Amino acid sequence: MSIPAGPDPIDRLRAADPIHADHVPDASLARVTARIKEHIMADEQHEPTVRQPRGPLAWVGGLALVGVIALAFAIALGNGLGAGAQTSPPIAANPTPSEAPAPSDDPAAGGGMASCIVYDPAILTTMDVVFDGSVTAIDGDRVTFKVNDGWKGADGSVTLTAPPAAIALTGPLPEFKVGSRYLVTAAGSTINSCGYTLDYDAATAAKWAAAFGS
Amino acid sequence: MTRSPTTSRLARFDALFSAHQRHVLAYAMRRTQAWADAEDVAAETFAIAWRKFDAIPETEPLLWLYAVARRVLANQRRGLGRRERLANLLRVDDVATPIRAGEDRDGPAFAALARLAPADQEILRLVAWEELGNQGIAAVLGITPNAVAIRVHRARARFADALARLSPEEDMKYLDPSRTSADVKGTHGAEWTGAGE
Repeated sequence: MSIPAGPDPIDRLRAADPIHADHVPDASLARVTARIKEHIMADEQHEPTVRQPRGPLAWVGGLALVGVIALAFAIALGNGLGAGAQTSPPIAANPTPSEAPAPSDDPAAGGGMASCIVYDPAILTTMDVVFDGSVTAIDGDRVTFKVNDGWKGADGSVTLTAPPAAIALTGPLPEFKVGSRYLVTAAGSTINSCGYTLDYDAATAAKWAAAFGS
Repeated sequence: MTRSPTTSRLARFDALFSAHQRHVLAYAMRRTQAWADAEDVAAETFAIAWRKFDAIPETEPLLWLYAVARRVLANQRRGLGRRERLANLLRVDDVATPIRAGEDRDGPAFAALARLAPADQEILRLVAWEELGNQGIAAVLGITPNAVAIRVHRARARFADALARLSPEEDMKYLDPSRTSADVKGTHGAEWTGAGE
């Protein structure tokens, strides 16, 4: 059997794609996100490290852990994330300036990442792309950066995709603006959230550089 | 500041989830008939990813997620079969909300796809919709890239043949931008057996 001459038949199938990843409904993403959060909370509840001797205190310890995890997620939800069918602006994924906490020298201590339940500079080295860069262009959800300091996977100019804000598990993104400077990480070509992409500040930049031994 | 391994794991999982959730959900939606079923597949896929996080390869984790989603989908289909048989016995209507995003599911491309064997359908979907190359498809299906190349070549030829067998009138109707989905509906509807395998 041979393929007839003419246009590639696969193009017909490609054109009939039922749904492109960019058009997946936010409501569906929010429902999946909520279920994953629920799953992780339930899983953490059964972590071997929190198993206590049977008795009243065991229940207190277990409930406390669930409470901490639930609180962490609740904090994230309070910053515009979560299970609702929210529609976010394409790039402006952050709380409004009046709602956003003030920047801090130590991301782990709060500041721009106060809403994140986790932040660990040691994780930076596991990211695909890590750099200090200034935004030169924004086109929809595509953001182009001029790399000022490329620690991993970035050099010169880089164009990345900003994920929708309302569906991240644990934290927001900064609001990208042309001309502004950011510390950026990405998984593949998608920008990471939750304190792993943030407004530039020299102290945090120094810590990121240190994570790469520079 | 020292963080627990669990905390670091959650951060890395979050990065994985944020980067790939749309692709996994789209993968599921392309292969199911209802939003709820697609969401079930995506949620179960990421639940497995959370449990087996340390087994996920650092390079191209999306392929690993697709492979898991494929198995989850197969399990779901077996379950749906049982559910449908039970519903028939009890005469309960399926109230799941159908996916309407793909209006062209009544078009010739879908009709031609439906006429192929399930394995051919899946490999063509991976080429056309997930836009994977031979290496990527090999990782998802658990076969060699050489085998993928051969299967893609054959499936593509069979798909072209199935398309060519559609009547020219229907083909022109499909290509005519003024045609509505209602014009086509019913033409291939009886042949359409769903996007899934």
